[in-house]
Amino acid sequence: MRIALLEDDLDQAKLVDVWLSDAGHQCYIFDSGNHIVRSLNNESFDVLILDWEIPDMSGLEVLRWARENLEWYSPVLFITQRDQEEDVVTALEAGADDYMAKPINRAEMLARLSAISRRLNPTKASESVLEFPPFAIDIKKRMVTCNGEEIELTQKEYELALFIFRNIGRVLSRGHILEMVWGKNPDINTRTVDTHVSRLRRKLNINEENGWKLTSVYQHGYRLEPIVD
Amino acid sequence: MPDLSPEAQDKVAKLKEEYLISLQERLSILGDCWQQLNSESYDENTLSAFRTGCHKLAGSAGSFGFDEISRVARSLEKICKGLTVESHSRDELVKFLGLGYQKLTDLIREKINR
Repeated sequence: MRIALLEDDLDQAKLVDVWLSDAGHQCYIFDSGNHIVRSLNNESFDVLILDWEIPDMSGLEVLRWARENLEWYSPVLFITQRDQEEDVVTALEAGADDYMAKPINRAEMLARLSAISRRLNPTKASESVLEFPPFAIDIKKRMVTCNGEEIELTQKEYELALFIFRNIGRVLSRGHILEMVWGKNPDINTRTVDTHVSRLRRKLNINEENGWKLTSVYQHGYRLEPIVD
Repeated sequence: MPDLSPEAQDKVAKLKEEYLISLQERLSILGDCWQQLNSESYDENTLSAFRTGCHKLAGSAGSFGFDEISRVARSLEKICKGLTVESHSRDELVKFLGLGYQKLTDLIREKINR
């Protein structure tokens, strides 16, 4: 997962970064509330990990800002020393999805993130075909079909389709898409995303007739949505 | 939960070494605050800075495996939350925080000198 970590203690942040990276996640460290809010205006993340006590905006204020202003939903895991009951309630009522008291324990944090990930992607591990009528994605065969007919895609186009369909309704930033499909590759820029999205839209024939729209969100990225009558 | 990979273990070991060095600096900042709290110029900002220093220490030390330091720093932070310069005299502040601060100082020095 692509994770934004709000933590002003750099030693602590670096340690969490190593833990998360080793578990296959990408971690982005922000040391102030304003810093993360600026980034959230242009970037998307799968999960936000917010410390409560930080300079300028508190983690709680960042959470409230995110819930009021972001068009996309990201689960929030609060990590703080405020473990009193009323603090837990305040964070949860403000929209946090889970809560963890400091000091951070690696195993507990990764377990909580796994639980969040399962809630985010409720697809069963055994499920090999994802249905998004008229589209279907066969994960084992790495194949996308429309009304049962295979659509020829390159490897990257397939991965892009899978990522976008797994995030229906979410605004995905170009940077997020780039990282999830191409990995951290300094030689590839976000224009590659635009090119591939355009090609994918054409090949899959994503349009109103098929009941889907893939829209470009100004200065941010893309969102795939079903068209509701 | 799988163990950390050998590569990550190396990184954590290096970060732990760096953290030990940072403990000296963290202790120095707390020491400056403590001196001010013990002087005529003690004020709310100094108390707040002392509390913040304890707060950060409590969080990070525990994650790096220094549980005792984390525990004592956490106790100090909790005590600080109940204190204000307006309602408590300097002697009271020193009395309430003194033992914990001394304990914290000893624990950090012990780790640094090891």
